[in-house]
Amino acid sequence: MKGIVFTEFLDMVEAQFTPEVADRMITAAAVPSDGAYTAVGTYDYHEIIQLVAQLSALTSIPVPKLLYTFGIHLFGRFVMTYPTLFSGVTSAFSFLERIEDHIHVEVRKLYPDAELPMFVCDTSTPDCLTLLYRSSRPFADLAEGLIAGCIAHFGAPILVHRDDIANSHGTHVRFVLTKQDSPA
Amino acid sequence: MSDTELWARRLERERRARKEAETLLESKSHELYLANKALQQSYDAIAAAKNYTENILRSLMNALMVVTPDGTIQAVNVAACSLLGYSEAELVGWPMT
Repeated sequence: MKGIVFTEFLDMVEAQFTPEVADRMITAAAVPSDGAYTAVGTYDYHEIIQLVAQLSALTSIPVPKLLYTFGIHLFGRFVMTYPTLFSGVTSAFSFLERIEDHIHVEVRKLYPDAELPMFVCDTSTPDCLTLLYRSSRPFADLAEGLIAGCIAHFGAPILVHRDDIANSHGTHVRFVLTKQDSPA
Repeated sequence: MSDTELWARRLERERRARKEAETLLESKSHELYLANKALQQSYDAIAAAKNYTENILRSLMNALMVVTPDGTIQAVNVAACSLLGYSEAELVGWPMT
C-alpha cells in the first residue's frame, strides 16, 4: 500500500485526536515499520489495519467509521496534493468515471508497482452512476469515505447506496450514486 | 519559549522538509517516466528504420556485400548469396580474400 495512505492517516489522527493518541496507537500496533512512513514508500497494508484497530480500541470508534472518516480526509488531501488530477473536472460523476482510465494511469506512471483496486463504472442510467469496487484488500469503508469526500468536494447532492457483494476472493462492493435535487 | 514549543516547531519544520522531499521525488519520478517514454519511442523509431533499410538491401537485385576495414564479410544480401553460391551463414565472418 502506498505510503501516502499511512502518512495522511497519521496526520489525521494527530489532528483529529492528539499526537499522544497517535503515539499510543503506533506503540500498541507494534507494526514492523514502527510508524516511520514516507509518502513515496510502499508498506504492507496489514500495518494500516493494525493501526486502525488500535485507534478503534483507544477511541471506542468502530473500525468502519474510522476508515470512512479517513477516506473523506484522504480525498481532501488528494485535492490539495494533486491539483492536476482535478483540472477540468467539474462534477463528482466525471471525476469518479476517470478513476480507472486516468487517475490510476497517472498513479502507475509514478509507482509502477502500485497495487490498485479496480473501479468499473456504469453510466447507462441518467442521473445515476454505478461503481463496482473490487480489491484484494478489505478497504470498502475507505473507498466509501473517498466517494463521500469526492461528493463533498464537488458540492452537488448525491445519494450513495452501498451493496456488499458476497465474494470469497477479496472485497467486492457496488456503490450506486444517485443525483438529488439541489436545495432551492 | 518553552522546550515543548521549541520541539513542536522543530518537528513541524522536519515534517515540512519531509513533505517537500516527497514532492520533489514524485516530480523527478514523473520526469524519469517521461524521459523513459521518449527513449522508448526513439528506440522504436530506430528499430523501424533499421528494419526498413534491411528490407531494401535484402531485396536488391544487385549483389551487395558489406566488408569491415580488415576485409571480413559482415553482411550479404540474397543476390550476393545466389551469385557466389553460398548461404549468408557461410559467408558472414569469412575474409574477402
